[in-house]
Amino acid sequence: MTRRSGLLLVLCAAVAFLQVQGAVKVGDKVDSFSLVDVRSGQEVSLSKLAGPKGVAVIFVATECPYSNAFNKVMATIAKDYKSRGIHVVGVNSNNTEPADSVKQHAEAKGLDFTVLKDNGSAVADKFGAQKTPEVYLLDKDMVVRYHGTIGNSKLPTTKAEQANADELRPALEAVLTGQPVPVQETKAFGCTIKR
Amino acid sequence: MRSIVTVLVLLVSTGPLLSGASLPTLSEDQVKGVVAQHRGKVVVLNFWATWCGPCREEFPDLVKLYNENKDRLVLVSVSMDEPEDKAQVVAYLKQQKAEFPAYLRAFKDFQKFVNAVDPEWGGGIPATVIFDRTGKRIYGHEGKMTYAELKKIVDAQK
Repeated sequence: MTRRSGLLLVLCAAVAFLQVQGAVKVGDKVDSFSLVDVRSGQEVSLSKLAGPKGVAVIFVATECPYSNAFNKVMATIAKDYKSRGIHVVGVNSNNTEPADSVKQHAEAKGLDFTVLKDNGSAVADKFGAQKTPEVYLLDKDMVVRYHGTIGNSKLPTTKAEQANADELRPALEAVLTGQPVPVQETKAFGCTIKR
Repeated sequence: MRSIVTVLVLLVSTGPLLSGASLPTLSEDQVKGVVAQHRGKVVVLNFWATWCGPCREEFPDLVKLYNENKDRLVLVSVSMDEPEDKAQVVAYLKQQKAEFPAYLRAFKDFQKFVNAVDPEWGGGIPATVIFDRTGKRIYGHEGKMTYAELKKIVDAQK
């Protein structure tokens, strides 16, 4: 290896985390996208799935124990906020988890919200999503108001009974009331998305 | 007596050994100290968990990387399993014959822990952060890495 190519390697390596950091930032307006709903098999757009006051896009997995610890929490959030105008949409971007297994998982685990299959991880790439579960909360104008963990930001857990939505709930309430989100960004612990 | 002293000195100078019954913990306040402790060698800091499939797939490559390059690098493994799951972490390290320094998470605040390790780390696992011989962070990656990818980075550090 030449000295120059070695230097180039080091420079490229030095920005590795930067290359995978989120392309979508808090404050960015997100364009709608269309993916297949694993239950209906029909392609649907995010703008159609969004509630009148916003939508929480959560990248999920079927096999990640950390994501699975939050299944009940996600279902509860979806139920609590649907009637208040914010919908939850799950996106599975793992190339190791085909649509039929995502459908079975959603039904078996009581994920009573729309789950989309992101073949090729295109939407994960567009958002810059890296792990599961990872949430992007968009307001009625499709502007990202919160990004990060659903809950347990200080002490991540794989124990479902300890999982909570202590970070997402205040953000949802702020979006509903038009107030500034108290903590706009957290680092989400979890399994990296298999691209 | 001299041999006992020698063993004690070795234990202190190399940090926690290793994948035995003891598994020291690592908090946000201790991360920088662990990296500094190994100054003079390339430090490969790897974050994983027993429940993480890609972490388990990556682990044998980490063992190989360490075993074949221990003269110039230190691999420091940090399990992100919960403290109550320590026994299964120890069992996995033994099963993998991991002979490098290994820790179990003991942070009070994951957000602070991530930032202490590398502010650019998004928080997912597996994750690897590499420091050069002077302790300067030179690389970070979220996701599984291969032996070849790791070796290439280590080889660039002369």
